[in-house]
Amino acid sequence: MKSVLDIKNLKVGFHSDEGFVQAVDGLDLQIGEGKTLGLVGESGCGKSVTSLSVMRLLPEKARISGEIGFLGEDLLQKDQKELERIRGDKISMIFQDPMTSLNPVLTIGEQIEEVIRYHQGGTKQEIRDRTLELMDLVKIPDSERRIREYPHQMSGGIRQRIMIAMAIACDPELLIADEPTTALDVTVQAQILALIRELQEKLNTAVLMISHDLGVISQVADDVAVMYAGQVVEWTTTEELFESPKHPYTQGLIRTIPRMDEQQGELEEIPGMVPELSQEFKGCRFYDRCPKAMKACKKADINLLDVEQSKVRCLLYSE
Amino acid sequence: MNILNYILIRFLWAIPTLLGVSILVFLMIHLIPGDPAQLMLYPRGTPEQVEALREQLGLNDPMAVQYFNWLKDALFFDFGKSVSTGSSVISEISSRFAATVELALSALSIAVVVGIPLGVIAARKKNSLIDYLCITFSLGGVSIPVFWLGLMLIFVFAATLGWLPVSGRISMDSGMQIVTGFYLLDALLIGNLYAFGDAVKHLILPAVALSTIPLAMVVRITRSSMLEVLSQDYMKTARAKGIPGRLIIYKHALRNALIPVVTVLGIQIGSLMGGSILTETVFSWPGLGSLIIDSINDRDYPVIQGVVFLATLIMIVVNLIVDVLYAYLDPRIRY
Ligand SMILES: Nc1ncnc2c1ncn2[C@@H]1O[C@H](COP(=O)(O)OP(=O)(O)OP(=O)(O)O)[C@@H](O)[C@H]1O
Ligand SMILES: [Mg+2]
Repeated sequence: MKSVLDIKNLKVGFHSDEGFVQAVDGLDLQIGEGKTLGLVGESGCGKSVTSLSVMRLLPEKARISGEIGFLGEDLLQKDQKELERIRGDKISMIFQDPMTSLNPVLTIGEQIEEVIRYHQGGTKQEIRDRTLELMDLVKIPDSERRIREYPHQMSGGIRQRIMIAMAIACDPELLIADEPTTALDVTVQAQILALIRELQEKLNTAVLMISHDLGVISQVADDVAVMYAGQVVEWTTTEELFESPKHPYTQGLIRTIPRMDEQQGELEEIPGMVPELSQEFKGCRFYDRCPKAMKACKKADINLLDVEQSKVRCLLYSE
Repeated sequence: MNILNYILIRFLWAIPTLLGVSILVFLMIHLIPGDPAQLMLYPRGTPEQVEALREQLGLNDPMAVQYFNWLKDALFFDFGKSVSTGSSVISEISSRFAATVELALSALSIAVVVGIPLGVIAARKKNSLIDYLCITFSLGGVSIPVFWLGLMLIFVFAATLGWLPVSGRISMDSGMQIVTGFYLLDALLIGNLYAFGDAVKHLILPAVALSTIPLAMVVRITRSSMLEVLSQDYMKTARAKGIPGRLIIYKHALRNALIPVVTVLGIQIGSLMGGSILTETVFSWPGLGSLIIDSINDRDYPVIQGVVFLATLIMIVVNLIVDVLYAYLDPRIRY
């Protein structure tokens, strides 16, 4: 299968007050055409940094290496001009907080229209028609009126729909959604997820869906990559992940999902804290929190191992 | 709410303000200890002259009657006669009014036209040499006393280099004819380019002196508010949409960043007027500032009242303009 996104050995670091922070450390990921990859992990594990690397929107001080293959070209080799042409057209992004992600002084219409105007062009009327069409596509009621309104006049759910409309305006090959529902309340969350799923199928767009919530991922993703401390620790199909989670961290994460159906005592959580990324790691990064840790885990760095259909970074599965 | 309604409401709000100020201005003459008529004529007034002046000023009527009479006239810009020259206050003021507005507008234009681009550049090139120069200027600029700066400018550019005139608004031989009182405009209206150049030359030094403080402020506020805006989420959204760099700055960032700049400018108008008193004195600029100094020295209360009332009116109008500008820039205020 042809892959839309093919990240190889991505490393991203920042110089900060606490020293050098290796936020992403040797990440490999692939997303096939029209597929949805869920990227999941606790806060601070490097999910947003990964997505911003693909967009090439990291601050200038970020040290970035490796390869980000997009439709056969390496995004890390592109200059600003080329990137401007790709962003919003071939790759687009939806952010976490719809309340702050829209420009407060521009009308909704203008914010959607400018994407079309800049990437595809057209007459005023064509652009306006297309904008109204997009607003209907993301199910914004009363689009004729809304198009002239400003972000502060709308609820979070509507704003996130506007973000989605902007993102799909040019029919992108890849859509990155970084915690698109985290800031919304539960009923709205479900609607937005359903909308993304629906559009993804309709437009056959590849999606990188980022979340700290496996519940969200399970609803939309074909494949899942679990990240821990800047690395992928497990990467497999969504089905496989929930049926037979391999990495002890994944197993822990799955136990933390609240379930309605079964009896569940106290909501479990993974004991311990996420490690500081400014340290030098040796061996498994989950070692301190792992219930199945062995002496050998600390000895040397562990590679992603092929276990059945999964890739797992854990010594339990090495022969 | 539509912007016209908004303007109308703001406008209606200005009425109580103006009435309040009118009471204060009116009372001014009564708040000073002693008999105002006697004070105005001090030290030479004979009892007959004092009584005549009391009659002329209406000081023998009950206070409320005096106020309403005064207000009724003031609304038509009739503030009575100057005690020192005997001519009507409004004719004294009107010849000076245009001079002050011309100077203040020029200073304000310099502050805006130079200050905003400098602030934007400083913010975009944070921690560069130009940024440090801007910071230094914006810190230093606000602490330079206007009269000292004015004198230094005169010393360097007028007295030493001789490039620009020392004082006044126009040269005697320029052939200027007064139409509106705004010399730049008048020179163009009568088609006298020589007079226009002459008026510009006279305007440069006082305008630069008066603009320094607001310019420093505009640079500082533009820079800091631009820096803040650049770090906002919606800027990341704009870049994620592939909008080119320059358009992002001028379309997405600047408009947001200008909101605090407009606020500060609005507040600064007051001190701009204060500064213009000093500037006008240093440059012998025949404006309201020097008029009020003269009339205070002469205890010419009708003139003082007229100038203060008019200055308040200007402030109210300027604030109105600022509010409207504000509403134009920030839709959150309009709706
Ligand atoms: N601009 C930056 N400068 C310095 N460090 C950064 C920067 N951006 C991110 N980091 C660091 O990189 C690490 C990963 O951050 P990232 O935002 O990718 O986490 P995340 O997985 O998206 O978490 P969350 O669920 O909270 O969004 C963090 O330790 C963070 O402190
Ligand atoms: Mg994040």
